[in-house]
Amino acid sequence: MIVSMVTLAVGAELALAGAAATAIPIAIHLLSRHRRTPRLWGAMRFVLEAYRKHKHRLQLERWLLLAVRCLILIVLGLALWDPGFKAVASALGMAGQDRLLCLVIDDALSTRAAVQDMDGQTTRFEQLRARSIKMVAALHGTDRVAIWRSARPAGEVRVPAVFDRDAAIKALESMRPRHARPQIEQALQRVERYLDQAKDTPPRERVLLAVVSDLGPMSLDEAGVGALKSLSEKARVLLTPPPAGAVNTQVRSLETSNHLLVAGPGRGVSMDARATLRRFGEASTESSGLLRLEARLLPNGKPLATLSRPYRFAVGQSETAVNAQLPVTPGALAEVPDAGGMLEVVATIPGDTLEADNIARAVLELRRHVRVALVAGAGSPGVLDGAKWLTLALQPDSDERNPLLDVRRVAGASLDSGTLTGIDVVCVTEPNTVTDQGWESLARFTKNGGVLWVFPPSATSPSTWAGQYARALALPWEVALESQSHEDGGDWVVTTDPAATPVPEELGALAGDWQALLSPLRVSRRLNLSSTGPDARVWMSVEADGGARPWVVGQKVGHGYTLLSLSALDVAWSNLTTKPVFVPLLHEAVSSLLNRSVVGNRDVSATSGDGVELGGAWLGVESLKAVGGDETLWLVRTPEGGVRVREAVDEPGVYLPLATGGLSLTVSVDADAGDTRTLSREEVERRLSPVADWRWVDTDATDPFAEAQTAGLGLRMGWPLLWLTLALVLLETLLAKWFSHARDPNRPSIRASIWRVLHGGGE
Amino acid sequence: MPTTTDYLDPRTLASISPLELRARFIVEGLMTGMHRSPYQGYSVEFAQHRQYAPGDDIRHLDWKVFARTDKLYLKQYQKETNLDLVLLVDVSGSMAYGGGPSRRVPTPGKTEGGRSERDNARERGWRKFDHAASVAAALAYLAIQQQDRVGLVTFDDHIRSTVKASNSRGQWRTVVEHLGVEPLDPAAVGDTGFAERKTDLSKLLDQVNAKLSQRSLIVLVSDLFDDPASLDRGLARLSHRRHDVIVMQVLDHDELEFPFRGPSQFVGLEAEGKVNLDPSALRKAYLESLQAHLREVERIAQRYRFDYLLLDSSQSLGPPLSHFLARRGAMTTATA
Repeated sequence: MIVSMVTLAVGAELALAGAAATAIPIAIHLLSRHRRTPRLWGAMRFVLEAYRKHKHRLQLERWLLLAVRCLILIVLGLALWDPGFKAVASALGMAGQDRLLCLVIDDALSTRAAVQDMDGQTTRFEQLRARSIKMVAALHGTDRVAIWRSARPAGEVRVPAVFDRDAAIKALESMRPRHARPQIEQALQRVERYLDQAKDTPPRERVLLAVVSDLGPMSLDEAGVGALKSLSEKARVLLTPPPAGAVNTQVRSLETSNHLLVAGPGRGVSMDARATLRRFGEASTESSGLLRLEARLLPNGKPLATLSRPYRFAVGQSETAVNAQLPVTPGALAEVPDAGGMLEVVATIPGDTLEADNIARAVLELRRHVRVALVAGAGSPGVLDGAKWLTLALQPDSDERNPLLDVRRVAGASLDSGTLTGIDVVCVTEPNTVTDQGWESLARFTKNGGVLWVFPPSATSPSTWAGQYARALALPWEVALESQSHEDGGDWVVTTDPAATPVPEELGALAGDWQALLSPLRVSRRLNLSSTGPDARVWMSVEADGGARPWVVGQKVGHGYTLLSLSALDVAWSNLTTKPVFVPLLHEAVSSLLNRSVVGNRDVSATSGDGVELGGAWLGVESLKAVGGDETLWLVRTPEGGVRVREAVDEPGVYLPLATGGLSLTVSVDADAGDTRTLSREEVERRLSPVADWRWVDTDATDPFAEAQTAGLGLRMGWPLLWLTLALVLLETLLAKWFSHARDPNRPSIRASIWRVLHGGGE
Repeated sequence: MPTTTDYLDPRTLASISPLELRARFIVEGLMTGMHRSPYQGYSVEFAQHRQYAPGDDIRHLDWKVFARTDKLYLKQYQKETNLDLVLLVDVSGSMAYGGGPSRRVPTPGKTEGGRSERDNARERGWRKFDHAASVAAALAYLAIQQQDRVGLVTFDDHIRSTVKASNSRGQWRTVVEHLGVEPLDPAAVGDTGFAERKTDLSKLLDQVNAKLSQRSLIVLVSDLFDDPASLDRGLARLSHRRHDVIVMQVLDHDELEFPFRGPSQFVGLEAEGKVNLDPSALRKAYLESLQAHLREVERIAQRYRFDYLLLDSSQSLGPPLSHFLARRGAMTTATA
């Protein structure tokens, strides 16, 4: 309906203009007939005689001329009706402006790349900003401009649109390039939403969408092209030409073998670091450099250890890795308090085109010891119950004064949040003694990053605790009410088939010996786990009932992890406690799960552009401050009761709470966004082939939008019609001369005139 | 140094207001180098002898005197003639046309600077009537110089005025005064500001024929914008009465060439109305029509053995007139 009304309105306007245009030559034609020179004449009889003879021919010539003149104006009107020529008229000040420029400027990481131009050293972003400012400055007083940025997360810079060009330019000048990847499709979707929702959006012919980007490989993906295609139906799409690509080497990532370092008093630590390096744009040559690794104590940044390792890219190689072991001497760790501290490991390479991605960070938690709570009864002297087996396994060197694992017993009935403060790992050997409140405390402890390992009691029915455990931790597990013994009094074999029971990821350090460690294990009694759910991980299983049945199963819960063994730590249930696998199993599981929980809870890693959700451990933290910087991140509570950073993080670095210790947020640049190569114009045109209507924009032109509004937009008939007009004008000139009969022998014939026009010379 | 004939250029003549003085200029120019009168009378009377000089016509040698004295003398005669020269001068509206600014249409009844339209028109250019009047005055002067009687008739669709034939001394002045009077009667001026009288030659020549009692030399000076058949009928009657006729057709250069460009409105001087047209588009057809008319007029004149002379009012009067008179004189001598 609206379309038909618009069509009707446009048609009426066109008809009116056509009628007006047609009336002009008729008026001129008629007026010219009355502007004749009056001549008194004696020989009228001869004039009248000649006139009578040729009256009809003269009238025919007049009407033919009139028709050609009318046709000229009609065709000219149609040509000027073309939106492209309307833009020309607009540029010449002959028509109203009221255009809307939607400017999407790319401020992603790659725009930080340094470039050399006529004015010296600058960055791509500066160039993009200069282009944007030129476009804004080229607008007229009645034009409006709205600005979006495209780095993840894409957002508004100056929306809604404003007439004030100075304000828009100031907004552009206040922008800084970010460290995230480009999300042009997100920016375009925002633009489209704005155009759909704004009440004063002009028609498509007067909406200009300018995408000012360095057009890196990530810029125009399928989603971006789709968004452009959709927007091209509402705006004229303009792209600035891509700059030249650049070579860039980056530290893609830095990984350490552990995130939790336990260094007892007077002990040093050693960490295995792996830095992955990547280069863009120079794979056909060999290159090398020096990677510098440094460990610093947080928050003061005191250097603890430094080393350099060479790296090398072979021909055709775009990615390489450097492995190094970074030792920290006991002396360097003297300042670390007993409660522990934090280490920052920084990997850097020499400066190049893009500085921001030449550095990578990893934060490690440094502990003097790990605290383990055993939820069990007091036990009987001389009796090796489950808790004692665990204590022995966790503290094999009981004579050491300062063990790395500090194990303490906690009664199940007294279990609450207070008793779990400072605890890293909870092993429950008597779950039947834990109250509902205790289970809730354990659930909070686990969700906040703790490791909870539950062993069934050797003597009681599981019906009293299994349900409470599953409900408290929201596990979909269903544990059978009764334990099951081998039918003929024999044992089940713990599966050793790697295909059936692959080595758990968390026990990667034992992978080489895993098969050998499992082979002596025998299980004579166990609980049946009838349902595990999709998120459960079966660490170990037994061959029973014609198939593999879970025996040790784990699942991530919040930021923490829980493990359930389906046999009690009793030789009547299995020989696990007496076999060599028991000690390494416990230590690797604790170490691995703690490392993971530290990463997920206390040391949170994020990439520039991320919206960061923090765990319950961050409750009470209001803000974070960058180590060695002024950047401050503010935290807000989420509706779910968690904590998140109020705005997406961007500035890379390590952020620490001002008060609460043991927490850190590490923000890294989006390494993939450091690709400083750019798409060629041909590649851009290929990718944008689904977009029917888009143009390159020359920001150095007086009116950067003139070409877009003239070159084949709209009806795409402007230029052909204009050429037709010129041809008709030529025809009219020749006809007028021919019909005027104002020829003399020295004048060329009409045929000769046409010949000269077409060939530019003599006949 | 200019010759006498240079003064016969219409531009020069146009600057000489009195027709009398203008006619004298013309005649003086014509007489230069002319030894014989073009008007051959019916009888001559001896006057005196004159000694022969080389170049004199030997036919006039007095052989008797030569026999007696052995000297050559020419006989000179006192001419006597019974020739009546009747000048028929067209004063119809079309004769008011003259090239140059006069082509513009004047506003009827209005005057410029207190002068009459006639004065303004006179200053505007050399009209066909001016040319015809000059020719008529010159011929009258020549005739009276030879003691021939000269009469004048001005006409349009009928006789406007007449001057009875006479060879008295004051006759030439009378003729000139008649010609000097503006031929366009203000009372007959129409919407165009000019006389709307058409030429009717048949009727005119009938009237003239009726008035002439003896054989006469009739000089018809007109643009002859009339039906050739009408001219044919009139000349037939004059021929029947054995009058001699000289047809002098006076046309303006514009009428002969039709050189106009650009859209124009042609307003007929003889109430033919107005017509809008592009003259360039009609030039060819116009000239064809005009040439056909001229050929027809000349053919009619030749049919009755009358002399015909086409005069371009933009051209000098001397050469064509002297050439015509010389040719006519030679032909008359040959026939005599």
